[in-house]
Amino acid sequence: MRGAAGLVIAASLLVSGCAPHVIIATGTTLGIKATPGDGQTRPPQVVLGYKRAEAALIPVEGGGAEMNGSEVKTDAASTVASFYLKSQWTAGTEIRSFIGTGFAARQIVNENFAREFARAALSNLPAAIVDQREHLADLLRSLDGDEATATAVLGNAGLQPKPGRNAVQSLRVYILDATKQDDLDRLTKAFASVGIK
Amino acid sequence: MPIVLRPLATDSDLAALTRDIRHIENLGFELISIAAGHMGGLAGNLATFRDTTGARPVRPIQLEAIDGSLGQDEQEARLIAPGRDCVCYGTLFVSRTQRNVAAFR
Repeated sequence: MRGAAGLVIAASLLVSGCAPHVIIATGTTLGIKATPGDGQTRPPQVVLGYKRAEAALIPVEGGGAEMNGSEVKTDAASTVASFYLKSQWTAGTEIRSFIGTGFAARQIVNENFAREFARAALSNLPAAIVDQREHLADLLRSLDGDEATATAVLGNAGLQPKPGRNAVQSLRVYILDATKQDDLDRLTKAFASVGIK
Repeated sequence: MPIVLRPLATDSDLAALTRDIRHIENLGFELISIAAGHMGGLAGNLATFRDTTGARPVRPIQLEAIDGSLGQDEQEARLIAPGRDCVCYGTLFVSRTQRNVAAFR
């Protein structure tokens, strides 16, 4: 395995020459063993084995990503490797693997982000979270636009003002984006720390 | 006037979308527009709100589907409703199907 990885890296270096390039290598070993039962004392068994190794050499002094409209000017040092397995045992098995670098990697991540973003839509929020967010909004209203207190609440919650927004407006957006109990608890404690409950 | 853009679920029915928008408005924002589109190849609903400096909405928002096969005059007539104002009119994915939707207040 070590020898194979060394060969991949050496070959990549030969192809790339002296210019800084991203080198990524990934390997996955997958094994599925299915044993039928005898219908009496021995139950059917399925054993899944999975082993994965990944390595990437990324230049740290690259110019970063640069696009001019849809035209790529300078590629980024982004990398992503993914492996997908779907097995319905008797019905069929599906395996997909892909590697992306530069803007391709960023695009893949963006698509996943969009999907996760959609999943996080409000309809999936528990009623208790919705109620707590509205309670926090009431606490914020009670500040009556007091920027100094809002700044203190932000600081106590370990949050920074959002770009282009003052402290009150930033808090409102943080409440809007608080969909996890930890985030809500942190904001609630921050309000309590300035005497607002 | 700070603006926030937030996605809305594409598999929600009109009642759930109405509830989600009302919830965001209760947090101190006011609906400006609705739009359906695609992001990274995936269908998405996008709602745009403005910061109301915390004021609660005067009246709750109500979404209603308008038959997109109607003529322009007929669609405009549906948007004129006594006693309430049409905030915006656009396309949304409702239960994963694109519908013309009006937001009334």
